[in-house]
Amino acid sequence: MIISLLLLFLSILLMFFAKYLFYENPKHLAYFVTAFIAILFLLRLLHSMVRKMQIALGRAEGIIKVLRDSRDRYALAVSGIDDGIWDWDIKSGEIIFSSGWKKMLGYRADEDIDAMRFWNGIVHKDDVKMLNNAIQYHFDGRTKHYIAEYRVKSRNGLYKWLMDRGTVTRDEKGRPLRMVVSSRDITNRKNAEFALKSRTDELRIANKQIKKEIGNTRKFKQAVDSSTDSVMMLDTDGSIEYVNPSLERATGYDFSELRGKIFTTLYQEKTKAELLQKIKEAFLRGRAYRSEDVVVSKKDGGWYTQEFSLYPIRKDGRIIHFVVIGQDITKRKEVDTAKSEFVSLASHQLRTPLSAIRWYSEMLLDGVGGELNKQQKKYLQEVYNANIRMIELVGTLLDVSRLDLGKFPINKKMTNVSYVVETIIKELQPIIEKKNLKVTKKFAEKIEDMCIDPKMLRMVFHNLISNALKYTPENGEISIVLKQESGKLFVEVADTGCGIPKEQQSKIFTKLFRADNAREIDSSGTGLGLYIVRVIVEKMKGSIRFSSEENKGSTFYVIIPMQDKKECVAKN
Amino acid sequence: MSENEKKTILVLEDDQSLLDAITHQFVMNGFNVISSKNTDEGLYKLEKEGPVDVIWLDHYLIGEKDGLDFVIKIKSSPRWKDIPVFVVSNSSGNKSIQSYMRLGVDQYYTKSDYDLQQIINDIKFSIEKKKD
Repeated sequence: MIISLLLLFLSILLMFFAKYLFYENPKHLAYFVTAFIAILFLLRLLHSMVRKMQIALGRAEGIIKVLRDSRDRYALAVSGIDDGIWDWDIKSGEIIFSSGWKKMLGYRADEDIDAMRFWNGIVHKDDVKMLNNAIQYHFDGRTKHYIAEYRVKSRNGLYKWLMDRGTVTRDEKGRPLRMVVSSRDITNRKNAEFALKSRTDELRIANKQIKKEIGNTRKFKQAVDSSTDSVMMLDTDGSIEYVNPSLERATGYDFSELRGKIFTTLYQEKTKAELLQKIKEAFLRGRAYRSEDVVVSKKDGGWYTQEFSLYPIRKDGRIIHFVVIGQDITKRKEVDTAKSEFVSLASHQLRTPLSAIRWYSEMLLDGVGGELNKQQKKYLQEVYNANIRMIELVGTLLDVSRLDLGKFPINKKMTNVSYVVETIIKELQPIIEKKNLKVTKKFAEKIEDMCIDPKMLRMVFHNLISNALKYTPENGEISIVLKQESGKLFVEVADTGCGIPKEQQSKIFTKLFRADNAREIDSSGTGLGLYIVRVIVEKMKGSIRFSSEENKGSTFYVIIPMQDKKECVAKN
Repeated sequence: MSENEKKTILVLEDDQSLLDAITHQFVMNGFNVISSKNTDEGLYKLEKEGPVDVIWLDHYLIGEKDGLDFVIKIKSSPRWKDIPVFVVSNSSGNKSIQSYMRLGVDQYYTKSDYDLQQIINDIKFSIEKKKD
């Protein structure tokens, strides 16, 4: 508009000045008019170009505005999105986080979170490297989409797991331009994953354990089933849960016939009522019980004697099962009875001729059959002495047999211990004098009577003291110590005798063992004395040990606990 | 044996050789000896040839009954319950020893552990004591 007005003004001016300019030379007018028209055209062209440019600019502006508006609207929209979204302008590094993203992590929608804060404070420092790698992989084109799982710090300081998914947009050169990422809170899923993993691990271990238990149970069942002992598993009410094949064979009953029955029904017919009562009581009390006199009734009406053992099985302190193990000991009992009877009979049968030899030798020596000359007397005395040794040997063998069988009679009485020792020393006086041995007694002032079998105590002392005397050379010394301390009797028998060689010491308490040096001194010993002492001391719940050096001497130490006085029969 | 009257002993023993020795020695010691190998015969002889001053009793005897049965019989008879009984036996059963002591026998000897004269001396001594 202005240009047009300007052109008009110029034209009018030219018209006025044309007269003067072109009067002299009219050719110049032609040039001038042509130039003028050319300029007019140029100006018009210029004008339209300017106008076009203006329009283009206007349009561009318009587009930019639209873009800006749309971006603003988008940013507004993004910030308003409840889903976790962030928009990353890769070139500038700027990131816009949606309100949903912020909310996800406990931040306020208006809280200012930028890329710097994101990378340096929010992403877990252990995950930054991994995240960068994931992004880079995608930018490099190695992955189709950007996907990552990583931890971020929420507002309250606790970490959450996010799963990102996005696709990069690139510029015309293929360089990463921008990426919009959707983030989802997968903390729950992750926790579930971890829980699942640890659960799976737990289950794997438990499974292994179970397999092992099953294996053990199988092995156990195999052991139970292949045992020749009869085995029963009972429930807590006494009903039979399981029986092994041995029991089926022994009783003639099938498992199916016994299942659910109360276990005592197998015994009630033939077992003594008192014993049955004791078993029931033990069961009710949850106590173990053993007996060698239970009689089991068989299906065919027969019966057999059983060595019966009842055990409670506990788990976490509560009884969950009982086990009954039984062994048919009919044979054993018969053998036992036979052995005892044999021992009794042997004792009688062996000793009778020995008595005859003794008494007849005695009578001959007394001159009952006529006066004997010196030599006859001497030889007869040998016979008599040898016979005495034989009698002692038989007595010892019988004692050992009965101790082994457990049939050695125990008669407890209140016994004065020092008195027993004194009588033994007195009995052994002949040998003490003969060898001129010095016997020192160190008895404590006050030794309480013990509730003990005096016969057995005598055997202990007799063996120890006579050994000391036997193996000590002439003019040697024996000392005997007796004292009581903390409810126990302490006995020490020390000698200056031949001692026990070190390499033979471990066998000293075994049956029939005699050390070489002892054999040299006295070829007639039985090797049973110390065995008997050991068994008796053990029966009294005591202990015995010794210290010895060859050619120096030995000391035997015996400890016997004071026994419960209740068991003593007050006899006079 | 301070008195003029001979003492009588009843010996119950199943082994002949031992019985001979016992009889011989008691006779040597001034006793009258009545002997038997069996309880029933012993009781019969006691009845017929008695009274006796002392009884020597073995545990194992010929026949089904043993020394214990004999003692029970003796002790339950008012006539014989006060006769001292000396059980001289080689049997080792503890139960029987206890039973004998409970029934009131005077002494129990394990035969082979004693010289014959030792036992005879004890018996003589106890008879002397009884008299006083």
